[in-house]
Amino acid sequence: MKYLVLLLTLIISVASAQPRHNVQQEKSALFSEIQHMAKQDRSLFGKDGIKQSVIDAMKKTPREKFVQKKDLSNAYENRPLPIGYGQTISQPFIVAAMTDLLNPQPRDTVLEIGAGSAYQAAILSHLVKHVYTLEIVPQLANRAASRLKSLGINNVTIETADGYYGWPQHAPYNKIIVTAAANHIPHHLINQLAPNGIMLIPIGNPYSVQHLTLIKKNAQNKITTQQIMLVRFVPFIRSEND
Amino acid sequence: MTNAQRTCWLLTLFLLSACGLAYQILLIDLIRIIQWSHFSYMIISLALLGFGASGTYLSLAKRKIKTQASSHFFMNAILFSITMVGCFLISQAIPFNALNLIWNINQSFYLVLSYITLSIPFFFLANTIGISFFQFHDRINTVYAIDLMGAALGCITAVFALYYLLPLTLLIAICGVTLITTFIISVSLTKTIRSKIISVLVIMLLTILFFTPLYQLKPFAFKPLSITLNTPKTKIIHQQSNPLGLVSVVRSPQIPFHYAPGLSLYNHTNIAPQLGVFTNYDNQQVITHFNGDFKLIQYLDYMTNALAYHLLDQPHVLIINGGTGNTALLALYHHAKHIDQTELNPIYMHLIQNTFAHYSGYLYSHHYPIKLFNTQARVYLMQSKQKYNLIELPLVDSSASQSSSTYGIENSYLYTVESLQLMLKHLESDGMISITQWLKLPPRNSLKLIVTAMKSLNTQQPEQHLALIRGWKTFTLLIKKTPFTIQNIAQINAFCQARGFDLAYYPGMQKHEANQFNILNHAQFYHSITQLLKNPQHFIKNYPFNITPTTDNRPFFFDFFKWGALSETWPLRLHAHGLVDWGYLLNIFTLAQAMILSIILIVLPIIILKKQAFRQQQTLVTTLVFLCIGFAYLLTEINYIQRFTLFFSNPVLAVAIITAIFLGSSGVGSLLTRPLVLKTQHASRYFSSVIVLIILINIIYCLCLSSFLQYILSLNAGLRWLCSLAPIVPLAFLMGIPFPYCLNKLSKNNHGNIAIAWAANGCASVIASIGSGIIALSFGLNAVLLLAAGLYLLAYLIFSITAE
Repeated sequence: MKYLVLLLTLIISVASAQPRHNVQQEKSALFSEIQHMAKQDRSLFGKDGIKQSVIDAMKKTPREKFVQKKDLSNAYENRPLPIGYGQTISQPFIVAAMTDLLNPQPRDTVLEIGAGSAYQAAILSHLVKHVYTLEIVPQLANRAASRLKSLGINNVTIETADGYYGWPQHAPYNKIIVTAAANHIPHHLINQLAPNGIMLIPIGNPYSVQHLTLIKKNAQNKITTQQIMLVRFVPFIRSEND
Repeated sequence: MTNAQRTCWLLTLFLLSACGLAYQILLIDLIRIIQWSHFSYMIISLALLGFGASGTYLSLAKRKIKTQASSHFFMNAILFSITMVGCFLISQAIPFNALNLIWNINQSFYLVLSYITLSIPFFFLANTIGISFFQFHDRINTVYAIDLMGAALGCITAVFALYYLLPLTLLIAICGVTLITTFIISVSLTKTIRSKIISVLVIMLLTILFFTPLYQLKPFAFKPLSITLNTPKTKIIHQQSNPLGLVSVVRSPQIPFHYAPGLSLYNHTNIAPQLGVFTNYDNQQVITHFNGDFKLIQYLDYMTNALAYHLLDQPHVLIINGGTGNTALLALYHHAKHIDQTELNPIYMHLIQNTFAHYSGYLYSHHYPIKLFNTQARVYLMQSKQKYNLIELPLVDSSASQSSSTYGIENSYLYTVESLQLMLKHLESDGMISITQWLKLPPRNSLKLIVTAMKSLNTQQPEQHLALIRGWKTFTLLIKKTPFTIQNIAQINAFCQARGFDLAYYPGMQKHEANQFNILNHAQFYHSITQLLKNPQHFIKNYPFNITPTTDNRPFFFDFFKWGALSETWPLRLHAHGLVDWGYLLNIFTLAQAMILSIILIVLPIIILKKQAFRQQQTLVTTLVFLCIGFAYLLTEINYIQRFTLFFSNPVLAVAIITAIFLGSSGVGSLLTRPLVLKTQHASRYFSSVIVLIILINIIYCLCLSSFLQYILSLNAGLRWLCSLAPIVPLAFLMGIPFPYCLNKLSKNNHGNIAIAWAANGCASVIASIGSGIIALSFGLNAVLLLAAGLYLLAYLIFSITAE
């Protein structure tokens, strides 16, 4: 019995002795990690990795406000976290990569399909003129709207609607980002993309983005798509040189 | 104990075993709905963990149990019935998230917790069997036979019941039957206790029935149907179940379905209204609203699988696994002369023919030239003499398979060399096979298909017979019986140009033609395919994914895992999840988990608490012999389940029927052990013959079982079923003999060995049930049978040298 008591005491003391989370330290470690991962693929992000403006926007956006209470201590881990209703807040590296590849400009109007927690929209709000975001699940849309309001973000408009038809009232958009799973790209969205516009679609399940599809519309409205792997995989380079 | 009491006891045991296996089969079905299919093999393992742990418990508590065997038997039966529902409900509350396993180490803890929770009912069930062994130690073979035959009955009953009851209703039904079963044993107890017990049982039964409406299936939140149901006003409007799966038809009026995977960006027509059809909350298909106006389904011509129709004029088409008819609509759009369609699951056909006939425009009626065959594709191909211009394998696999790479261990006999050869035989001279799948990057499934097609073509210039195009989400491979003509190539080019699809390969293709629309970093598909065609062996060897051709001996099409590449893919797993084949690693993890748990729960308690016993040579021999027998039996059984998936096309059916045949035949073998072997003068000689026969049969099956299975597919249903029993029954009959024979001999002077044998056998079975699949993935199905034969030989040698 005494051994059991001793063991319990030990477990409790170890559990209570866990270090407190230092948000600043965790944040800075996370952004270093994101840059480190991005610099592994210079062909995609250049030698400097993710643009500093994107990193700054992410620093201004407190991820802890976008995660569930039970995940507060994991907010600055570089991994996706569940937000309910079968959706996740994406891995910070993926958010950084997608924002960087979207090449946001201060005059841009952006349409986002699948607001989720609105973390992506909040980051974009620091980089573009206005973000229109659609969310299919009303509960998530309501939560996201009040979250953005509490953070004082005014250039994001959120609505509960089917993203399939886009949001024609505010079209054309310079950038469209589709974060919800898409089995195909509706022509409505392509029509709402401005000339020289970019659309970005991640492929994979909510916990694992495997690659991105980047759709470009040129000045003559010609469409091209590009499949982007978020990592250079050495064996393929080798096989190409064979 | 009077004769009546004995009969009651054994009857109860028979029914409990039946309920136990029915529960196991049901659990496999439930896990496929709640989680994913690859966890279904875990159920066999966790059931056996319960059995192994029970062996350990009984060996430690045998003295106490022996004195009050009846009441212990009764208590365990009651606990089995309660935990059957209770543990399932608890397991649903455990927040295990398979997709999050890579990111969150806690998930492995939840997986272990689910594993242990679900094994608890089997622990109590196994206790009833073990106590019966103690009670009837002079008739171990009879008890073993009753247990096995009851279990066989349970398997068959569960499969039939799944045609009529929804899985959760069946769970309550099994629980009810188990409780009622315990009434029988109460006859052997005293009158006062009996009346008390009966009232308790009645109250429990009523309580379970009263709360029935509260029991709900809670499928994993990230399964496609779970996500779909979060959208407003989306409802399941029809649900039907059979052993092939739980089919849900879903209407979403506010946010309609727009299912057209990989649709061309150049499509400007609207998608027709659709109803979603999900199987096991996954595998999405749709029922398309069709009113006879083909203009409304024009978008179907803007998907990669429409390519073949642009090369053929009014073709005679065979659609394999046509499901709810979207591919048939495409064929009709292109004026197919006649369409034959195979579909294994009758529910899909019933939906279109009856429940949603009006919505689907009576697609499967005599208005259209469509003939349906409710059978497995390979059975149809073996039996039919029909020739086709086009055999189409549409996109039917789960979209989860493209993203999570978790389908590695699933066997598919549709994409094997033998299967493609069969399809080629059914083609007219200008005929072709069209296969559409999800696009995986870096290329994997596309290359594996090409390699498999090359082997099946059996020609000097296979490259002349292949063409592959890709969109941004899907690809289509054409395998033509005769070489592609210049006209064909022009048609392929025109099709791709008009739709913005990329040419990945066709005979004579130039590098500059590749990578035009959906641009990759470099023309990965073109480079890989041309290199592959130049020097297949070298390319397959050096490619970082496993793209060796799939055969009936290694039917794991979705396994792309290579240990050699792991050192390069593992460090990238956090930002290139798709590079790692999680299906394979998940199985390794499950195996490790099974090993650790079986050591902790089965082996360690005995070693620690029975140190003295292990100093005796007989105990050590018992452990080793039963470890070997346990491994060998389960390796063989799981191997046959995997092989017979070709026959049944579904893991649940294969598990239920093969397990039933194995247990039933082994039960008879066990029952006859006493008169045929033990009681004869030359028992050991007979036993040697049994082992030699098992080994011989396994070796013979390695050589010819695949051909035999291929052959019986061509027979009619009755004969086919009868012939399917032929190879299993004699083997399983013989495999039922070693366990009771050795147990009888080894426990003659020491009844404690019964429990040790029970535990060792359980421990080995837990590991083998998962290990069998992993060995088959790496070395092929034949290797598993040879290993099992070797283990029987080893068990025999240890037993005969030391014990006899």
